[in-house]
Amino acid sequence: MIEVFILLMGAATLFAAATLWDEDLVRAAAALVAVFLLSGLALLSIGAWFIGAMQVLLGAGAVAILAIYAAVTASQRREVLKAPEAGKIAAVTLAILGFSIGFLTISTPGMITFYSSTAKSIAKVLFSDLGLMAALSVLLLVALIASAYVIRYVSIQEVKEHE
Amino acid sequence: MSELGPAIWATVPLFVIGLYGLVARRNLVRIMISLEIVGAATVTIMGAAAVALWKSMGEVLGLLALIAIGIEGALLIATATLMTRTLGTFDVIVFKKKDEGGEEK
Amino acid sequence: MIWALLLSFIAIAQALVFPVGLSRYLSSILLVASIFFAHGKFGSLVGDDFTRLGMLAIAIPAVITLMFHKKPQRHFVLLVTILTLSGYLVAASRNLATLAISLEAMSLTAAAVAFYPGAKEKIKVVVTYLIFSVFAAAMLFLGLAFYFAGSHTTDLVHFTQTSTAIVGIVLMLASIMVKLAISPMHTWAVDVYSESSTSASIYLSSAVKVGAMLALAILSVGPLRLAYSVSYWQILIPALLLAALSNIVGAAGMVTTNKMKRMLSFSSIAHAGFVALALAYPGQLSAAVIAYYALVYSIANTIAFSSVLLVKGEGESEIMDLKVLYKRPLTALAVAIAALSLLGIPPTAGFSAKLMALINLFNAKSLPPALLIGVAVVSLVFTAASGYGYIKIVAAVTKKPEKDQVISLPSLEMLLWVLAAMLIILYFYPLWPVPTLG
Repeated sequence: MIEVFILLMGAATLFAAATLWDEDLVRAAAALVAVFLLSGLALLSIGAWFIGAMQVLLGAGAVAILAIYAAVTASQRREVLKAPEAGKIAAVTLAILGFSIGFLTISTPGMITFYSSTAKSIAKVLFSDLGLMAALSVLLLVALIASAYVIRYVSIQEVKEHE
Repeated sequence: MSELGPAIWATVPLFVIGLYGLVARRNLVRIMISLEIVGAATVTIMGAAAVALWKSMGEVLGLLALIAIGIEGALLIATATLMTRTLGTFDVIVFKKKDEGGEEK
Repeated sequence: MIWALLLSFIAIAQALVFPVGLSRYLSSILLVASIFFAHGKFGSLVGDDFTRLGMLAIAIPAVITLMFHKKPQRHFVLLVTILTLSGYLVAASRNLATLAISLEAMSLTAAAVAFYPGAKEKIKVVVTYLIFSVFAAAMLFLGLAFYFAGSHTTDLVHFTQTSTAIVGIVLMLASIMVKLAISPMHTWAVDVYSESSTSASIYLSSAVKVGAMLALAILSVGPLRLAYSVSYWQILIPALLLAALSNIVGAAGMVTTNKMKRMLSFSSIAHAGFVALALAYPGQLSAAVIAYYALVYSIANTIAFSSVLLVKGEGESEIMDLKVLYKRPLTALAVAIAALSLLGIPPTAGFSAKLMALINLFNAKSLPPALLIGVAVVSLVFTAASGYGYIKIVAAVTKKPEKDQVISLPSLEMLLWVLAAMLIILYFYPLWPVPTLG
């Protein structure tokens, strides 16, 4: 079971690398769809049905499509991938961080067995904490209003230019 | 034998790549893509933990993280659209230089 | 707690319906009123002394921003109201999942507020803010994932001792330190606070910073305390060193600039460093100290930024421009008290806040004493050095101006007197709100 998970995550890692090192922005955004699909499938393979499906629906279906939308509207699709001067230091630091996190978490107790999520148990956990729901509702409200406020400027500007 | 450890271990390269992208890439769309990669890794860890610990709370957390990081990505795309419509670039550094040059005139 | 939430939601709804001239006042009233109803429990949201004090610290800059903005747009009222509500949620949350969600709501709205009033030159500000907040969000949720995988829970009471949970704590702490603008990640704060419009700066540098401080307090009363109790105190050493470093950076920035907003944004970095010193002995006492510090900082910082609003409106001002306050002795006194409180001179509340942070530092028995003394000495020396900046403010308001300039916000001035009086009162009656757990 865990072997399939690791294989799928390995494939997802390859696509993740493609998103950063592919010069074409649209291809990079398309690789993000693959990352979400593969990690969602990996979750399905160990029995986390609900979150795996959500990963595919929300991640690959909504969020990654946003990235593709922004990429196709760009005037320049190809770009020169030049990291800033600190890029090498960042790469080394993050590699060390990754190794140390891997070292510290390799012995996390927990056994992947025949778990199968049910919508009932998830809804029970989600709705048992009403405070969490209140915070979530505020977050969703924020998403609507903040994005609308930022985008509004573009349309106002275009109307002004038109006039 | 522990299997949650290897499962987490399999997601580590994913979020390291994502964090590197956040630090080293200058294109705002690519920054958003990197953020979403870290998000995918986060959700995978939460889902794996839910399976290994037999707790639905892990999946709920995964859902919350997916929503929150997705929203953050949406705001980034909104800002990227703003930038490319008004200043014609996604590049954070070029755009900052343009801005400073504009002030000098 | 449910009534407080309802009132805040009504505040949001009325901001959508009523005209701006009315809704800004209604919104302020409803937001302040909801503080009095923050009692009891609502899921993982708990209304106790800690919550109410945190809510007050967030509401004060919100009220000033809402009521004294010259010509607010409807979006601005709406965004500030939502931002205040999400700050309330941060103060009330006693669960790491709720905390993460509310912090996220807070930083997203803050990015939109930084864009206000929606001019071309503000795009740079919002992009800077977003990049850092995205980085912080990624680390926050990653930390939450590791913490859950290791500790099997997200509440503040239970803990399973695994190294995975410690990794999660470190990542969450790092994320909140980015939000607080602790030193290596401080550049965004200077850009955002000094370049956004003054009303937005008041709000971002006081309320959003206070939200991050309260999140730090909740982290210190929960996971950090639990990790400390099983002797994982080593994770605090880098945090303390970075706190000392940001004191140095803040003081250096303050001394070298003559712009008021720029100086105050460096001051906020130094304060973030000082408040992080309370982490050395995490627990309920440190949470109380951080909450008191947050209230005092919020009041003093609001007064200091409001002086720019009085003198220059929404633009940037030189420190010497504050001379015009000379003709208004009480306002000048209020600004001087705020500056002295930011510096930490008795009898202002800033002194007792800084003193308690240092006392809490020396409660830590596990950490090496040499480190504690070193960090304390560095922080004190550089706070004293930053005094030069604050003294410049005091000198400016006591200097006679050559030409007269009319100040046309008398009601704001009266509010500033009240706030300055609060700084003196809080010195004699300090508050130590201990957050309840579970």
